[in-house]
Amino acid sequence: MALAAPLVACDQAPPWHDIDVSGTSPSLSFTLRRAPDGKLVTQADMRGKIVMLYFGYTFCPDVCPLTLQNVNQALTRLGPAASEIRFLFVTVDPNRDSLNVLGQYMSLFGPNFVGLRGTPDQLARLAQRYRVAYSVTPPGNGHGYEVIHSAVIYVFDQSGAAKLLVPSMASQTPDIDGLAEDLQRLTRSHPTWLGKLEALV
Amino acid sequence: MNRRLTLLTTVLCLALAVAVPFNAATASDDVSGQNIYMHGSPEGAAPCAACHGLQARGRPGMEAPALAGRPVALLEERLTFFASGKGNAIMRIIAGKLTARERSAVARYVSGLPAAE
Repeated sequence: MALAAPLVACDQAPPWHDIDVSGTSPSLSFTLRRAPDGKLVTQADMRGKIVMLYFGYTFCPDVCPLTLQNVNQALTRLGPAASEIRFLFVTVDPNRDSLNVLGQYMSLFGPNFVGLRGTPDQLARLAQRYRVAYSVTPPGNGHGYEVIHSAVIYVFDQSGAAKLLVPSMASQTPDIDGLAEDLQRLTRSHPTWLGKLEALV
Repeated sequence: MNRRLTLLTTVLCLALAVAVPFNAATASDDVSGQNIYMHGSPEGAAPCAACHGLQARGRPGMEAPALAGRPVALLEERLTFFASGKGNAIMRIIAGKLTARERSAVARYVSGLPAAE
């Protein structure tokens, strides 16, 4: 027994900086239009890439631009390995975020950032799949256009299996180094048969 | 001999007079206000265009104001104000990640953009 304990400890992988959701969150699955060209894309187009999935809107005055820039910082720290990562920005405000607006916004942050837009129904189903909350309230009754959305980022491995949940990159002290290390680790690892099985679920 | 020395000194002084401003210009030009405005800064300041618009004319529905054509001194003063930890919470974070030289470069770039009529 005394011998077994250290052996188990040796086998344990170091903890992630972000929240490990392997085996507990749904795999990557979506059908949305890409900005600005309007091409219909699905999870199959992302195979072989580490995918970060985020729900936001381009008129967001605070959380979204800070999140995108902090993720951009983390990607910069990865160097060439950043080319293996795609950040999918799904707009929760398709009324104002046209494909053109979304495309222009994404281009500010670089080639790793992909803007996606869906119908209200596609968006609702996708948000429900990942337990992401959002609401859009048109102006009226003394208030302006109001949009509320979660700031979490889901991270999926090369096979589309959910791996990590990044709580918020728009906090006062975002863990940019931690995110960079987690992403680097994912780019170096390859999905196991169990992970590939999870991605099919 | 003295004439040669005087000539040499004059040439050296002229060379310095040309070289110093040239170096100063190069040093300030290596910070691109346009690049920071469009794509953020190396230290992680978010791109200004995300909220203020590609032409710095603001974006309808956002609180970020139009900035194009405003005086350089005013823009630089506001950025320095935010960088000192005062005013709008988001601008405090963004301006706080810009160096004085970067703030100045952004202010010059935005001021040079045509204001909306």
